Amino acid sequence: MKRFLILIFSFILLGPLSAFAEIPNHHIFYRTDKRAPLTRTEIVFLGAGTGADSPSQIGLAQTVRKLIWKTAKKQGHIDQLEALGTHLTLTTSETYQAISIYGLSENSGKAIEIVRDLIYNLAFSEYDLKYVKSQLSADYKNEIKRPTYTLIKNLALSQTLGVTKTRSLKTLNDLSLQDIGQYADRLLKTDVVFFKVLSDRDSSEIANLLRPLTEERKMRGQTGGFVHSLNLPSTNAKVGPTAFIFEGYSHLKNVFCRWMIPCGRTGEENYIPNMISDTLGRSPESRLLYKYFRGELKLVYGTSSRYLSEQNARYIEIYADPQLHNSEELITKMFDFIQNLPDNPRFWETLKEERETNDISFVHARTPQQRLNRAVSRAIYKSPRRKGGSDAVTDDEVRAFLEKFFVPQNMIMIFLGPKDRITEILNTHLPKVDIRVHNVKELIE
Amino acid sequence: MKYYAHIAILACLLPCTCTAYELIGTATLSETLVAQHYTINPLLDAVIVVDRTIPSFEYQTFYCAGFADEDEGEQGRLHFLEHIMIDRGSYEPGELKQIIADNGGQSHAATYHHFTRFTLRFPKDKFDLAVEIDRNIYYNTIIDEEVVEKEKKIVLTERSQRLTRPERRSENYFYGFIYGKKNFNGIGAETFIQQLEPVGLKNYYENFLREQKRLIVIIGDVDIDHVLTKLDEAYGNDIAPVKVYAPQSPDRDVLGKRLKRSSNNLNFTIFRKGWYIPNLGHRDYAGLLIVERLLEKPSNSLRASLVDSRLAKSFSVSVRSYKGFGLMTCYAELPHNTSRNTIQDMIHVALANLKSISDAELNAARNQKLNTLYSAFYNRSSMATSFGGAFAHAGDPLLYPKLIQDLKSIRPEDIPPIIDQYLKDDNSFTHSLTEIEQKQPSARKPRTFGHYAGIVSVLVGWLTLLGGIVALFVWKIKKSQRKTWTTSPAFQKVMLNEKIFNPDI
Repeated sequence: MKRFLILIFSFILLGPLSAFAEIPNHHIFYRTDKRAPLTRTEIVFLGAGTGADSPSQIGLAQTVRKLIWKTAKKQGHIDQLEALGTHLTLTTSETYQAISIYGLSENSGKAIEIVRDLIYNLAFSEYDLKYVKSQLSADYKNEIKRPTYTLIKNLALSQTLGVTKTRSLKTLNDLSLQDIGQYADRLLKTDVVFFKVLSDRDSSEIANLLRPLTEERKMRGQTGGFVHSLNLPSTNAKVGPTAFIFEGYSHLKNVFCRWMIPCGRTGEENYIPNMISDTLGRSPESRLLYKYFRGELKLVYGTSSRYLSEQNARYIEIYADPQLHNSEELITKMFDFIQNLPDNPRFWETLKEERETNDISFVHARTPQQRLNRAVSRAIYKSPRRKGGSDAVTDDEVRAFLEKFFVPQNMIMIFLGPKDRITEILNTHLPKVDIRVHNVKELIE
Repeated sequence: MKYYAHIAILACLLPCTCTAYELIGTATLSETLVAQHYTINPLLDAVIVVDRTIPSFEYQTFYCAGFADEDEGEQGRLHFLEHIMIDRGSYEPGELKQIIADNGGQSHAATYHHFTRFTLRFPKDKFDLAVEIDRNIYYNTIIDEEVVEKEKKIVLTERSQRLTRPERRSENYFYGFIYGKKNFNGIGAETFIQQLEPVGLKNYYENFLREQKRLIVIIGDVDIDHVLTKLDEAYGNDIAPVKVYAPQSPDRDVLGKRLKRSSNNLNFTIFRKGWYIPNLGHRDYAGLLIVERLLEKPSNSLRASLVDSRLAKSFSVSVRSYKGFGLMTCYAELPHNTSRNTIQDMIHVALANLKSISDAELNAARNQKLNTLYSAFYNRSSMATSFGGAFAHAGDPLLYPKLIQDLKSIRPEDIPPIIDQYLKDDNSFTHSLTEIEQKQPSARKPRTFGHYAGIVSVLVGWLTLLGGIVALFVWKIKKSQRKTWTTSPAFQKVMLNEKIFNPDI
């Protein structure tokens, strides 16, 4: 009780933890939003994500997620939550497993008790496991029937940077009930479970509502479970220039192109890659990719640039979607555009504009939910923060970054479209590119 | 006398100082959000919701015409205009986007079935700029050769990208039947886009799009008086007469029909079943939302039984409003071996079961729908679009928040009559998009004694014929040899001798 009160008072007085601190067990990340009488509560089991799957057990965390859902349905928890106007969502990320309940605030307390009953009464049978495995297997096979960038990128990054594959029919089939039991046991004993809450209710009320869960965990003990670690495998490899082309997309009338520029590891400072990505294509307004490839060359409908990460690899992703007859021009021009970025005066002009408007345009990303997401993300990944933020980043630093990473040897390309035509374009214009043709079935092997 | 002079002066000043806008309705959305509905001029309404959660605002303008309102064979013009308007207005190429970016803003535009929407999003101190841009797009968009040719390339790229998706093709076929259009496609046919020219587009912009009723929705950190003053300055004096366009009525001839089309490269059959229902604003619309939820909840529902039994890969139900009518639709992706009749039968059974809905089931479904409706309050863009949709489809933006009250008033006994009245087969139609059937070689039938007897007879016949031919051939050879012999001098000699000594020859 004393510890609980300390927790509540520290939470009320100090608010969410600073980004540099370790996340304490049962910490509540909270933001208020009074626009709707709703509460979204995420219970996050830190360290229990797909990153904890061993190479022989790829798919374990996902399988347990599906099994928890099936149990919830079978034992009537879903119906009970439905009656309260609450959605139950289970998500598995690389770093955590999360159970989320989102519904009418007036019923939040009851919903949390139902979820507590669910997670402490998990019972998996051989039959359920067989069912979930067959469902996941069908999902995998369905996924590859449509252009699936998540899996395609995963394959490209696994072949170039050594990240772990996230889908494998073989390891899925090999999972046993014993594996599931061990995972579930570790899940309940996870070292750090924290809460992410957005609500119209005040923070002390929320802390009270979460009490049944925290008390139950304390009572049952929390040792021997998952432990969060950012010591992911090293992913420093020579990547390119490499192009991944897939069979089975000859019917497409456009060529969907993605360039991935690997740039360091998770946990490093993010200012420079963020600034470059925003300069190239944050929102369409006047950013460089839109201005040049759509506005001037009229080669694409959609274009974007995003700064992303997968496991320990960080990369900037550039996207473009030319029609087949424009793909030759787009592919060659984009290749040149990327490698000549340090010497492109328009890049520096746009970067200057980006710096000048960054503060005012950032206002759109300050919703309570977005602030909450950022606070949690900072606490998990603990990326270093610089005094002065992005204003303290110099043009020389940006140039050094571009010269280091925006080079042909560091380009991973993915092209979805008619295979023979794309191969011909690459052979004609970019003969040094290592072309790797794959069948989509390899994505889930 | 002095008194009358004052009145006269006031009477002269009044037309200059009074404003044209008028408050015509308010609706409380939640503890902190209230929507106010104004008329600005006969063709323009506004909805304002003050939301100070973040220091910015959403500014959406809805023109009450969309691609379903365009004539057969001429669809795509509105979508094309939408591109030009949001890209250009009367500014130099690229200038509008630059102004928006320099002021920390964002812009977007989209064309729907019955409305075209332009979105501007700015930090809170840029409201005057937003009105200026909106006004510019409305009055002064430049439509010249250069901009039209540029947009053709971009729109054709967008078109080719979208139409490869079978879901999109199936949707176009489905709505084509509803609106009685053979080639329903909001972006337009390729040949139609290719032949668009500035004069025709300008005419369409001035004499069709700008004559539609409009709604401006502003949600965010704004001052209501300032918003009204600026809207009044920009549009208050525009008193163009209202032209009434007949609403698109859905094609009633399709009711009761089950239509099918085939396509290549389909990994599954796309199944759609639709029922005509009343529009937003009718109380039954809220009851139908409850039915929608009951059919597709995650457990103990039609969706759960279809997906869990793997008769369907996915299944969803939607209730939507359109201009003058509503539509409830079941959408399913079926493995090729699932019969469409099975799905039809299961829908019938599920609807019949819903007629005995309990209080608890209704409350659960109601709570879920309220959750969905309240969730939109977190998202200014989707909230604004809901106001815009209600205005374009049913003429009153506040019908959207009214739905919350309607939902709260639905009782279990309301559901059976709703199912009986609307969700019946003769008020529905079905469309399926299936894989093209490959012609299989016909299966080999088992052979009987008659088959074998026939085969033997044919064989014997052939052998007899062959024997005859061989015999004929041999006879011919022999005959020819004989002929050669009879014409030879030796034969003549023998013959002569035989004739002499054998008088029978």
